[in-house]
Amino acid sequence: MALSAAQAGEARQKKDIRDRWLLSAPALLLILVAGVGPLLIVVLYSFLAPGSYGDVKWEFSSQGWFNVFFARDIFDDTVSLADAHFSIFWRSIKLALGTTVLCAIFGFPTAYFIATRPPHNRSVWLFLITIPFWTNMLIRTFAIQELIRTEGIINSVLLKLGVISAPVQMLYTDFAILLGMTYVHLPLMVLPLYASLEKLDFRLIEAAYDLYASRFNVLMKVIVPLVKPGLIAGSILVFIPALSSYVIPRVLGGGKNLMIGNLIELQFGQGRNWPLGAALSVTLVIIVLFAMLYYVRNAGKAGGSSHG
Amino acid sequence: MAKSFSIKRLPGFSTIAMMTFFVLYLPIATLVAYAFNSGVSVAMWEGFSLRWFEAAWNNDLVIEASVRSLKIASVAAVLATICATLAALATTRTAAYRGMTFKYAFINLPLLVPEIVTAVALLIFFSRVKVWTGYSGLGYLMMSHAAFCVPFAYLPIRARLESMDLSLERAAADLYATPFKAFRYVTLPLLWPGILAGLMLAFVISLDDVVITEFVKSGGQDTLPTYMLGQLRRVVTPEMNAISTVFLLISLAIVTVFFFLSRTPEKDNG
Amino acid sequence: MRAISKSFGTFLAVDNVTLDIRPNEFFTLLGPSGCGKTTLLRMIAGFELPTEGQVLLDDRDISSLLPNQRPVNTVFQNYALFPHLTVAENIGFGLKMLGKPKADIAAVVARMLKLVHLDGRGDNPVTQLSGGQQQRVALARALAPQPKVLLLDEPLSALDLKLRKSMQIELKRLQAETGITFVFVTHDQEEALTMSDRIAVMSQGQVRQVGSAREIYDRPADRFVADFIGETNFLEGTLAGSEGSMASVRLKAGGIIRAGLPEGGAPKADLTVVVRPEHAELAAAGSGTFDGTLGEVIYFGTDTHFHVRLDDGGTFIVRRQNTRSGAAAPETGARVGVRLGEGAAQILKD
Repeated sequence: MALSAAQAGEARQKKDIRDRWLLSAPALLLILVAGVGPLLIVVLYSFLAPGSYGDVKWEFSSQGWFNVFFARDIFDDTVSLADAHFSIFWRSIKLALGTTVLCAIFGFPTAYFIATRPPHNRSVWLFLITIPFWTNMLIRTFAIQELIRTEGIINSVLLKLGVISAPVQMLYTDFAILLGMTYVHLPLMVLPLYASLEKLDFRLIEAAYDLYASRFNVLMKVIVPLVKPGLIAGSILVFIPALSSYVIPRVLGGGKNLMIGNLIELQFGQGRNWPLGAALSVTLVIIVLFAMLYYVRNAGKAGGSSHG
Repeated sequence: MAKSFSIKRLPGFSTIAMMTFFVLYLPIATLVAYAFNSGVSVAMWEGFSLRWFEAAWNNDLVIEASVRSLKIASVAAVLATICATLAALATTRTAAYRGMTFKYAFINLPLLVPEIVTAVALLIFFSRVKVWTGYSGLGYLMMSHAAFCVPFAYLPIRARLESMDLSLERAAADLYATPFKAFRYVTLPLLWPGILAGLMLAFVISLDDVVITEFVKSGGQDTLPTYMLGQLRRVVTPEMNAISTVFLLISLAIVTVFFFLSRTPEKDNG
Repeated sequence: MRAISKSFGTFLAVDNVTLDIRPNEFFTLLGPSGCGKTTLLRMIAGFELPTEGQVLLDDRDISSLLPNQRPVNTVFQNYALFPHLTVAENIGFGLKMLGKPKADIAAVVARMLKLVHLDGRGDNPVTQLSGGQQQRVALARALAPQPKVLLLDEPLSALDLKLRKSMQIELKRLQAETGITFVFVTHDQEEALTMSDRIAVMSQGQVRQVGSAREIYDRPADRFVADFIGETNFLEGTLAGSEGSMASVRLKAGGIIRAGLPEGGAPKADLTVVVRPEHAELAAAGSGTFDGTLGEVIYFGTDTHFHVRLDDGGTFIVRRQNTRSGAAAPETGARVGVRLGEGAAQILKD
């Protein structure tokens, strides 16, 4: 053999890395073509002019981005801020934040409950949390819709009990969207919280009680800070999909209470303003990106302080 | 003290937890219960009947959409699992090399991008491709489903690979197995549960998808979820509950199998 | 093995090692963890490639061959048995990969099962075996293809003491029966001393000494070997004269002794001499080689250790076998002499 062992080793290592690129090529290619690659086209489209019947005209235009923030009056051409868009963005953020808070309020005690069960029971409780997570999101939304519609079970029961005298309109309200999103996203909060709580050293709580802490103090000063990483992870896992919800507001909001997702869809459907839709999409991605950055920074801090 | 002091107890927590579990299952339970209602209402119980299951079974649109859903999910899951398996083999059990972190991030990217944005992007892209190629079959749906299933399939396969003992393949090589034979006789049989778990996860995820399908599909390509989404705009009969119930059962069966497959294997040495 | 080196980045794991392992011998690489012995073994097996130097087998350069191209098999530290295969399938794996006919494989597997006392266990899944049984399957699996060299990477470290002792004897028997060259890696000096034909003591990527168990124990080459293997007394002194392989050394603690010279002669005037505790005995003050004050006396059952404080500040330990009659021992604080037997002292290279 002409090659020395060192050269052979180097050649073998190079071949190994080449093989590893070849092996990952199908996955990378698939995701590039049918996953994230087309996002670049969305960015491109946001700078083009709208076509008459949907699609785009191939000329540069800032109208798409202009329309995200401003509205031009059809009659007198005056320019004003796009109040409709801002209110939808604001509603989306409000609803997503509300969902996150509600998920935390219900998710934390649930995760705590599971984490304090005897070890062999935990996986059963955990499985009960994950089942809804893996069942169809549309079906779960539909189930909520049935429950809260005007002639639905909740109204029927309340009427029978005499609590109310006429059915309450719950469906097609912001409350319905909030309820649906909390219901659908709750497991995403419980799972990371559980992961943190499971690692919690209960001797620390013992120590806190020993040092005269009340139950409330133990919760706020010991448990919550220790599970902060899980709380942040869960919040981000709930906030991001909640913010970009499309199906839930469509089914439970009834076409009037729009969120960003529905606004985007509108531009590609009836609105026939693809550049505006593309610009709105890019805006949504940017908001999500900022939320992620916030998470990465805070997760880093929380991780660091737990060691300090 | 009459009652022993438990450090783990926090007042009200167990109550909230039990309430959460109750609320989590109440809507699903109601949905399933009314699938067996003999009346046309989804709120007024009028007696037990299987008529809505029968109605769904005889509804050609439902059957067609179901068959289409299964077709897409099967192809997408297999495609995604093959890609994910190869990618997992390429990104585990080696010293970090240039581009490995990039691969890892790129494979998980579909999880981070809002689904509605991906859906819009694919709508734009595929509407062009459809014009260029003249092809408008199910291929687009299968491709896009496969793409967002890759990260889900990748997860359990990667986890399994990382828990696998590297010295087993060394032992195979030491015993005269060529790299291919070592993969065929040692790596693959040991990785198999992980691959199956990934396949099932991908299948369920594809089966459940609404948003991307809604934007990518051509006319007459409704899957079961998009068909249901369309129906929800009209007056709903328990037929929808019946369809949902069957759908839930299938998902539940797959998830249960997945749960057992992905449990960490028992330690192999005695 | 010729002038072999292996570096990981800037870390030199194996530094210019040349070893000649003879056919049919039980050769042991002994050293503390991180000394490079396992890296050396992996270079023989082909899992690592040397950065410099060559691995020769029967005068053939195999340094850059893949592991599956080398007639060398390994018994792994954690056994690395294939958990999805039966005992027989594990043992027959190598032959199957070599494309041997099924009947031949079955015959060899049967022979191997007998050799390691696992007759009738062929169809058991390996996961149901005890640690000792798994160990024997790993041995049989590596021996089945009849390699030129069998490599053993600390194979006994996971076993409990009793099982380890019986496996030591078992290994020695297998080596004799099969006539295959064994290269054994361990950090356990007792294991190395009892089993090996020859031992290479390694430290920091270098081979410090190669020799039989006796040579290494009685005539350690340097401070590391002397310290690593067994208990030793170190005595400082200066060279007073030499003749042949022996020299006389003037000790700082007093007295002149005759000591063996290391290979290549005494390095310098100031030197260190080592004496094993059992090669010295207590004597009346003034009648031994040097004197000291008796410190702690520690009773160990089979023997007793006497700590003697030397006049230069050092401590010298004398080990005495306990007998039924129990010779009267001097009291702590008494002046005692220490007498060294002929050939008890050895001069170190460093």
